[in-house]
Amino acid sequence: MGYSNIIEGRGVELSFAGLTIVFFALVAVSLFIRLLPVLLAALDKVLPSTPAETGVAQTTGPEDAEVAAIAFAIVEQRKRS
Amino acid sequence: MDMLFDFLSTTAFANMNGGNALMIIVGIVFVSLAIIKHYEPLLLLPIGFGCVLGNIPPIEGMSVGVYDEGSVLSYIYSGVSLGVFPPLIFLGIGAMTDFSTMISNPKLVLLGAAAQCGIFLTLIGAMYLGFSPNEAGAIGIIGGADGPTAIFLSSKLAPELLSSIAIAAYSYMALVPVIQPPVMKLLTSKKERLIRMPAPREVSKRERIIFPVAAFLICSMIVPGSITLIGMLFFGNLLKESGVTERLAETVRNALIDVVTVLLGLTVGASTQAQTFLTLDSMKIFGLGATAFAISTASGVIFAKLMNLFLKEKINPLLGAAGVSAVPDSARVVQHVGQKEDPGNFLLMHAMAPNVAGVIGSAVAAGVLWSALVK
Repeated sequence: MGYSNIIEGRGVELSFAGLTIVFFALVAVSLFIRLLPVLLAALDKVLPSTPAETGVAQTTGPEDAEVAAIAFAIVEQRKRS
Repeated sequence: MDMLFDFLSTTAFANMNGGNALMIIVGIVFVSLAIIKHYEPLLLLPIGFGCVLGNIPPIEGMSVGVYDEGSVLSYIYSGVSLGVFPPLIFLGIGAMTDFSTMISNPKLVLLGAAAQCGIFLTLIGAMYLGFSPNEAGAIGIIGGADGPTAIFLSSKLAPELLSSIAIAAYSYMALVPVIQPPVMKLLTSKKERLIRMPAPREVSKRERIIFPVAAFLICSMIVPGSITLIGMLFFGNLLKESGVTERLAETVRNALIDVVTVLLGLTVGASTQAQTFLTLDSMKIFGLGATAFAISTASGVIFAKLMNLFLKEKINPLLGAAGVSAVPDSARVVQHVGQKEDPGNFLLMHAMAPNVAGVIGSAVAAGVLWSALVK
């Protein structure tokens, strides 16, 4: 128990190394994401993307803004009637 | 008459002790919280009922409990003790995760890394309290706020503490809306909480397909110990994003994850038998777990403030709290705290970026600890 247990178990060393490695891995992921548009531009020359592939995330239903607009219109319609 | 008295002596009434009774009450409280207050019902209800189930004293010599060789519960519990269920849950999580917000703003990934400080600082705290390095590693991972990761790592490093660690991890995940806001408000100014984030850029389908493959390669090459969890996470995501395996993605994010959640929750609850659960070590684990969550929240927020010293376009530091990988609860907490200051400030989608990055970070941290501590 106490500091001696931390020293014996190399706790500080393990924590520092562990956190450094986690940061390193996520920094590498972050840098890859940054480079992704450049890589995709290069890939486009070899394998041109189709319009569907360049599009935004496909939604399976109406966007939230559309739903809100429709709901507003229905409420206004009901107020008038 | 002798037969009747013999039978009475084998009933649970005759063999019940105070610890079992207390744990049964705890189990009923969990079930009540799930049903009445809707606190994480998908987890608390199976765990609570399992708690009740596991604390009914069986007849001596009969294989009934999770720790009894040959019992039905022990066969199901082997999915927990052998670390099989957590990767299957990660498979389902990957199939329901959208990494678009993270891809659109990669600097927020670093907040997910910063929030893993809680894991490693808690490891030191656990060693200070007398736990061995393996036990401390398994306890520290509670700070990752990831139930499956906590169960996976403790099954590898400290199986004797698995039930306490699992209950602590899932309990504190349910208490994220209670633990995080005071820490967030303490470490940020009103001006900082009012910062609005710019709209994220659109992310193409190609990016969303390439990302899981590349991120898996990066993480697993750096930390091979994370292959299992990270591999399942990104495999599930690829099933979803590829667009050609929608049937499989649908199955893993619905049927598969639901089945595993039921079996995992029930048997983790049943493993909290009073004799093994009500110990001083369990109390220490619960105390360390709360500390881990608070430290993880604080480190994410502080790192965001540090980043702002170097950024022209400031990040709202509340997003740092979302690096705690309780998806999507900590992102919702960020949204709620931000909206209290400015009802027009919508931080939820931005908070999902560090939130999912935190899932990756905690899985990588588990891989690091497993690699470093495995004998």
